[in-house]
Amino acid sequence: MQEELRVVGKRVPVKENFDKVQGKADYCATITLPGMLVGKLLHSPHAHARVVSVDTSRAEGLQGVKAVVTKKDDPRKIFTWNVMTYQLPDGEPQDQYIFDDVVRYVGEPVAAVAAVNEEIAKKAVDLIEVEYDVLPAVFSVEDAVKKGAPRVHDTAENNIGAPPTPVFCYGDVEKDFSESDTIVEGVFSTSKQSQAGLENAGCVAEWRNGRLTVWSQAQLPHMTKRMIAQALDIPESTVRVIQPFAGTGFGAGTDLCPEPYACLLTMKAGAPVKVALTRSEDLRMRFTREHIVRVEMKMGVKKDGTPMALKAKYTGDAGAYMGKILSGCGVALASNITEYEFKSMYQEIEAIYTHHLACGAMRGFGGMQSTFAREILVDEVCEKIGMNPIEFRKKYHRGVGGLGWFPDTKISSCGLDACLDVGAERIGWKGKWQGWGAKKEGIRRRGVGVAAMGWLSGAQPMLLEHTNATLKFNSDGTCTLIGSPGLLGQGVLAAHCQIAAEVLGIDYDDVRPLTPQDTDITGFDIGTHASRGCYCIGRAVEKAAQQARELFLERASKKLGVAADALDIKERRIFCKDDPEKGIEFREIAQDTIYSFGKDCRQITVNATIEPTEFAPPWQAGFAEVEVDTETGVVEVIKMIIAHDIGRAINPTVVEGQLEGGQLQGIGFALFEDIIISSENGVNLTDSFNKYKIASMLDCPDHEALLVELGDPTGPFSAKSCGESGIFLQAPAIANAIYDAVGIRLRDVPMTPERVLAALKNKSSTQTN
Amino acid sequence: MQKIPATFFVNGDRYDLMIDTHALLLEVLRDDLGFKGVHESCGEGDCGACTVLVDGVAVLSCLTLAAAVRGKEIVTIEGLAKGSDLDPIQNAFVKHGAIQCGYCTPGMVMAAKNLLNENPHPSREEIKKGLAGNLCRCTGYNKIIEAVSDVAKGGK
Ligand code: FES
Ligand code: FES
Repeated sequence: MQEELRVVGKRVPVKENFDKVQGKADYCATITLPGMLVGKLLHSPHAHARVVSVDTSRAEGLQGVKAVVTKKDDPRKIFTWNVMTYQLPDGEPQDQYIFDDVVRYVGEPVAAVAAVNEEIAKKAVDLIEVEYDVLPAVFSVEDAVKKGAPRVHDTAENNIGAPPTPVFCYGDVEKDFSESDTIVEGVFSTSKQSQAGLENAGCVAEWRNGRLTVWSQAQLPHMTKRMIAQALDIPESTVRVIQPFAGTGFGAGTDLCPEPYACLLTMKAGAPVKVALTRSEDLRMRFTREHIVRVEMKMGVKKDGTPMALKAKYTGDAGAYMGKILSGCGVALASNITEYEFKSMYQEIEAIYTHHLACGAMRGFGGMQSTFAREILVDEVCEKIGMNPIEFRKKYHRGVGGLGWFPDTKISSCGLDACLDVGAERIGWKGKWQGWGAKKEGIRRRGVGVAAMGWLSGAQPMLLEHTNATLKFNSDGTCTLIGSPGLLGQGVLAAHCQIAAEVLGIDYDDVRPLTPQDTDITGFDIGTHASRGCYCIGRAVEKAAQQARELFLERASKKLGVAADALDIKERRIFCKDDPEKGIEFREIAQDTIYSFGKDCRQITVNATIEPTEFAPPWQAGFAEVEVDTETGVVEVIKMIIAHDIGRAINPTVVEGQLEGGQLQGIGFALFEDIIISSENGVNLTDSFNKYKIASMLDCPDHEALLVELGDPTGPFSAKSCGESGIFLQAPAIANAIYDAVGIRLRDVPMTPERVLAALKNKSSTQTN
Repeated sequence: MQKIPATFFVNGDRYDLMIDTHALLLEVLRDDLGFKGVHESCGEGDCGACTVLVDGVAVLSCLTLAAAVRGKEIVTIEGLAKGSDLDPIQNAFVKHGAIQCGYCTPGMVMAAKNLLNENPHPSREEIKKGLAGNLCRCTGYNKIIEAVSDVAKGGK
C-alpha cells in the first residue's frame, strides 16, 4: 500500500492512558466542584402507577437539603433520552417527560433531592411521601398486544409503538421461495443486555449566571446539549456539555440518564449537583441494549446454495418508552442486507410497549440479533444441501460494488474471504470440523462453528453523520486536535493524532488531543456511535491536516522561493522534493506564523467538515470451538477467533483492544448476560454484578482478534471501523459449534446450561419416539 | 454520627483526621483525602475497582471500615510512581494497551502489584486466578494478561 508510513500503522501508546494509569484522569465520578451538592433520586417501586401526589415538605425541612424537585418543577416539555433522534429528519418518537403523572417501570424517578452530603440526601429521599394509584402492568410483548391489556401510553392502542412495517424490500420473495430447493426458518429470541460499563451512570450539573454546564458521560455531546435544552425549555446555547473521561460507553452514552434530574436540581439549588447512580440504580435505570425480543427468519436457497429469498420480522420490546427500539430494529433489518446476495428480501419491523425498562443502544446495535438468526439458518441450510459452511459464506457473500445496508449504497471493499481463510487456519478448522453429522461420543463433546458478517463505518446515509475536526497550531510546530468523539476509552484519539501527524509529516507527539472535550470549544460532531470514530471523524482529521499542510507549504514556499507543490514534509522538515538538502524546519515556519515581524502573523487554525456518504463495511469471520457437558449443559468456550477486515489498522493495538473487548461482551451475550425482570411485578432481579454477570478473567477463554488489512478506497489511510464488530459473531458461532458438538439447535440467547439441557432432553425424547 | 480520630500512612505520608466510625476506607481515601484514583463501581465487593494495598496486601476499600485500618500503611494508585517514573506495571499497561476507559485500571494495577508481590513469575492461569476479582468491561483481558506477564518476565 502506497509509500512507507511513519506514524500510521504503528503501535504508539494512547496518550490519555498515562493519566489513567496513575489515577489522574477525571471522570464524572471523580469530579468535585466547590460547594457541590449530592443529588439522589427517588424511584418508583411500581411498574405502572398514577402518581397522585408527592409530598416533599418533610424532606425540604431537613437541615442540609438544598432542593427537592418533582413534576411541579418539570417544564413539561416532551422529549426523549435518545439524543440520536436528531440524526433523522423526522426524528425518532419522543414520549418522555422528566417527571410524568404516570410511572411506567420499576425504578422510574419520581423526585430528586440535592443536599450537602450523601447521608442527608438519602434521608431526605426517604422522607418524601408519594401516593400512588397502582395500575395493572404488562411484562411481555405477547401480553401487551392482547385485547384489554393495560396501556403503557394512552396514545398507543394495543401498546403498538410501531405496527409491522416492511422496509427496504426488493424482489419477489414468494416467487423465489417457490423456486427454492431448500427452505429453513426459525423463531429466535435475544436478551436485554446491559452495557454495564464499570463507571456507573453519573453526571455533574452547574447552573451559574444563566448558563448550565453539564459534565456528562455522553457519547454524542452536541446532541446531548440540544436535548437537555429541549427538556428544560431553555435556549440551546445556554447549555454547555463537558466530557471528562467516561468509564462506560458501548452505547450507554447515546442516551441521557441522570442528566435531566441533575439539571433541575442545580437550577433550583443554585449550586453544582452531582448525581451518581449506584450500580443497582444503573442496572435498573440506564437504557439497555435495543431489545429485539423476537426474530422470525426464513431463507430459501437452490441445491447449490444460491441464495434465493430471505424473509424476516423483528419485534422490539420497547419497554416503557420508545428509546431506540425502532432504529434498533431498523438496523437489524438493514445490516442483514449487506451479507449475502439474496435474490429477494422482505423484512419488517415492529415495536411494542411494555412496562419494562426502555432500551437504548449497545455495541452491535441491531446487527447482533439479525446476525444471530441468519448465521444459524445459514448453517442449517449448509447441512441440508451438504455444503461446507465456510464455502457457502465465501461463495455467496456480497462483494465490491454490491448492495450495501441502505438502498443505493455500494460496498467499497470486502476482505471476508481472507478473514474466513485466516480464521479457519487459526482455529484448525480442517482437522476439527469432521463434516455434517459427525458422530461425537462421551459426556463432554467438542464442536466447532463459524459465522460471518459485514457491518458499517458510521450510519450514513441513513443518519446525519456531520463531523468536524480542528487543528490549532502552536509556535513550536505542534498542534492541538480539537474534536468531539467522546472519551470512552476507544483509543480513537490516538488514531486521529496518527492520521494528522502522518499527513503533516510531523511526529505523533506533536499532535495533542483536547481533553476534556467541551461543546463551547469543539465544532459540531455527531460523536461516537455506529463505529464511526476512526472512519468518519478520522476523515475530517485527515482533511483538516491536508488543509493545514497546504498552508504550511505555501508559507515555506515563500521562504524558500520554491513552488509549494515542489515541496514535501517529512520528519518535521519541509524540503524540496528534487533537492532534499534544501529545506526548512517545520517548527521554524510555525514560529514564523506566530512571531512574524514582517507583518505576516497568522494563527493557523484549520477546521474541516465531513459528511461521509460511503459506509465502508468492515467484514468479519468468527470461529468458535466449544466443549459441551451433556450432563450439566455447561458450554465451555475452548477457543474463540475473530478475523476482522479493518482495511488498515491505524493503530493495531487499539484495534485489537476494541475487538477483544467486544469479543468478551459477545461471549457474555451468548452464554450468560441477561437482564431478568420479574414477570410478577416488574422488579429487575439482576441489579448487581453478583447477579448480572459480566465476564471475569476466569470466563476469558483462549481468544484472539486477527487483522486483515487489504485497504478500503474511501477510509482515512484506507481504514475501516472496528468499534462494534468484535461483538457480533460469538453467539452464532458458538450456537453452530454447539450443534456440531451435540446436535442441538439453540434459538435463544443467552445459551444457558438450562436451555442446553432442555434441548438435549428434547432431542433424546424425539429420537426415542 | 460519631467521629473518631484516625491516623493513616497513605503513599508514605502521614494523615491525621477525624473520621466517621462507619466510614469506609474508600470514602476516607477518596472524599476526605482526595485520592480520586480510588474508584468505586459496585460498592459491594464484586468488581475490584476500589482495590488498594493495606500493609502490602490488596483489599477492597469499599468493604473495609476505615476505622479498622487506622495506623496502617496504605498504597493507592497515586502512590505507585516514583516521582514522574511510572511503576513497571504502569508502563506495561500503557505499552500493551491494557487500558481503555481506564475505570478499572487503578484497581487492576493494584491487584496486579499484589499478585506480583506474592508470585513474581505467575503463569497465564495464575494471572487469571489472581486477577479474577477485578472486572474489566472494556479490554477482553488479553492485553492486561500480556502486560502482567511482561512485567513478570522482567519487561519494562
Ligand atoms: S467497588 Fe469495591 S469491589 Fe466494586
Ligand atoms: S478499561 Fe474500562 S473497565 Fe477496564
